[in-house]
Amino acid sequence: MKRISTIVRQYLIGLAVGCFIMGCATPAFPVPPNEVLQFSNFLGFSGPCCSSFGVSVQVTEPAKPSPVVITWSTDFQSTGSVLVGLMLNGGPCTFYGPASISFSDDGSRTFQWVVLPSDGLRVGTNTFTLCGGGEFGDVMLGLNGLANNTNAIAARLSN
Amino acid sequence: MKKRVLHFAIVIMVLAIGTVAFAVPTNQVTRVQFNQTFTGFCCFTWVESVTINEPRALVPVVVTLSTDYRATTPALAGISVNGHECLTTAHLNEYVPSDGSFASYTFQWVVAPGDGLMKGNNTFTLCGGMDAGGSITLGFNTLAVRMSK
Repeated sequence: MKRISTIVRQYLIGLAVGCFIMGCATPAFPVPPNEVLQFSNFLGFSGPCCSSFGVSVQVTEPAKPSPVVITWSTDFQSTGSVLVGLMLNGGPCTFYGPASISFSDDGSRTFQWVVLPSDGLRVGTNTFTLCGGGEFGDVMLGLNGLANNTNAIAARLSN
Repeated sequence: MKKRVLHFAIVIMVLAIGTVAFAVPTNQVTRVQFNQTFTGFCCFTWVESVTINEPRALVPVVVTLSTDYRATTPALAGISVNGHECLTTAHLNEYVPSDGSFASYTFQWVVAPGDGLMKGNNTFTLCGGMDAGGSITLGFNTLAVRMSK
């Protein structure tokens, strides 16, 4: 009886130590800096869809890739309807969800895009680059960051 | 001493298996890459849904819809939690330009435990309808759910 109680006690101590270690490890994972980007300068583009905007974030996929959710919020000015999307690892500009910035002189928009493993995500580092341009030809598009960092893009694994 | 190490190893193994089990993928994100037109007054199902697994101690979830759309009159969009009524509708302005272009909008809903969440699998279905008759066409869109923690 005493022996059983000793074994149970050892298991409980082991469980407590294990939980403590895991509890300490979980909050120790920071958001990797490459997964988020805020830019405070004005970025201007002109031309038809689609070309790179030169703004990227990165996500590191585990051995079994899972979907990535990318969120982009921006203030903008434009001279016509604009389409926006993402280039995955330098590939073509693709619409992984909504793409339209309807014509208005200025405004703000938020886009949430979902990139699936079947879209070409690979184990290790994946780069997502903003791209786009005029829907019906040339437009001038200005993305405003200004001092309050209103232009932000973030990528995260969905799991 | 050997026995202690063995017992500790067993405990760690059990914890590790538990952690992997929590990583079982659920349908937390969905993406639609075609147009769907819905006609009629609010509110009825817009079919697409996402799911998430709630622990025993329920935590709020955040559901985000991001969509292109054209609407012949103002429209309402909402979320149905586990098949219940359409909650917290969001307003989409009329948008039907002759050039065929779409507008885009992103909505975020916070669903609290009191809104009908339950332990285990929870389903969030997009719903909505027109404010004054007419139709809405949803273009490319994404729907995602995540825990608020």
